[in-house]
Amino acid sequence: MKPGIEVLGVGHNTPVCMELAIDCGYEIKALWHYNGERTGQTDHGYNIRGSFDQLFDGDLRGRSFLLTMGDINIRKSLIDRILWGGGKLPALIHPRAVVSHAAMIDQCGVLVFVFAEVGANARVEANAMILQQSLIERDARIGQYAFISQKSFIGASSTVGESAFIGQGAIVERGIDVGAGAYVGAMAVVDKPVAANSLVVGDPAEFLRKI
Amino acid sequence: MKPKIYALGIGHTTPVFLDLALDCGYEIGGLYHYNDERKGKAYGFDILGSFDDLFKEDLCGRAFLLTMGDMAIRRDLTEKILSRGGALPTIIHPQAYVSRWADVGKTGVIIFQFAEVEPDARVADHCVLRAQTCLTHSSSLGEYCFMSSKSMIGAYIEVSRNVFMGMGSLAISDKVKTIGENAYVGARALLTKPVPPNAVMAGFPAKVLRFRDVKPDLK
Repeated sequence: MKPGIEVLGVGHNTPVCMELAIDCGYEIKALWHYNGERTGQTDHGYNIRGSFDQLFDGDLRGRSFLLTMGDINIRKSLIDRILWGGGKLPALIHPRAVVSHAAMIDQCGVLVFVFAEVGANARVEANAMILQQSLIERDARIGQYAFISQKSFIGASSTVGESAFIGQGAIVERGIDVGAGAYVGAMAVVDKPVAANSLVVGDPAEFLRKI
Repeated sequence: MKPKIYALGIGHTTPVFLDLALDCGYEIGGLYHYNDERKGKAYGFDILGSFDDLFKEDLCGRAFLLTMGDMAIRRDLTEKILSRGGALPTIIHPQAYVSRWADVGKTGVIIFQFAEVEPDARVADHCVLRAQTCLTHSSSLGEYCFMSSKSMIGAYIEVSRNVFMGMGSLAISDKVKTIGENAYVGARALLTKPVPPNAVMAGFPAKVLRFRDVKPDLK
């Protein structure tokens, strides 16, 4: 029997995450929306059972959940509430992603999408998201809640700090550290360290402002 | 039995398309060249004649594959084939990933290996998505768009018809909103705002270089 998973958030990105779960062999049991306005409706054929508040009124123990929204602060608060209530956030690694046997993927909430690649001894921490066609080279470290967009490339032994955002098609060169909460623009080429909470853009990437 | 497909065009991109058809389980019935200068075989397959020879025949019940990159030629041949009853099946490589919730046209769409089409994305008929392209969720391509290898359309972008995305080019999610018809985007260009029709875009971030002079029959 397929394991069940319940989905939080009903929006444009929701089917992308649901499809990952389905491809990983899960059955979508229910959707939960941030408020009660869509209760009883369906999205992509799945029933919207209720609001987040209704979900958290119930017993979460033994249940598996998947978050589908992009906003990191919302994600963090929901993850805390799920784990506090005894729920699980299984790591989902697409069967057509290529993950080294020597990579360390945290079993809590990591999502690795189709055609992503994670190299040997790379370390992906809890709740990080590795999007489609991105490449995490050997010995790189991806911090908690980090977001690695499509087609981006994290070089060998580089570090992406907690909650950092790497834009679409960006390159972090080998051995370069991107600080916590930093934001790297699309297609930027990062060839020197990025301080925490900084926005960098361009090729080579230059500091634009603090965030 | 394998379905049979006939290829139009003999040129540098031809084996790229033949590979795709073979990987998708087709048998190549033969090739047609744009004129009658080619005889014998090409890439191991029989050259059956010229386009003119082909269009004298009844094409009903036969499937065809266009192997050239030029979208104006593809469009002209598409109209001739369909008007004579021929079929241009959509062909998707088994190693591409097309979402179960994507809406892909049934006629003439060509999707290569490792391309990715996300949920709620729409691909109109006759588009070509080369290897390692990405069409992100909630975005759409109009007819006759060509996405070169490794190009990417972010989320929430409406791409009009006959748009060319160069190799490795990227339209950023949400910020771009629309790409106008006949727009031509250079290799590695980074699109950060809406693109007007007929614009030739290049650079990082991309700027309008000039506007294309598009023949009226292509509008």
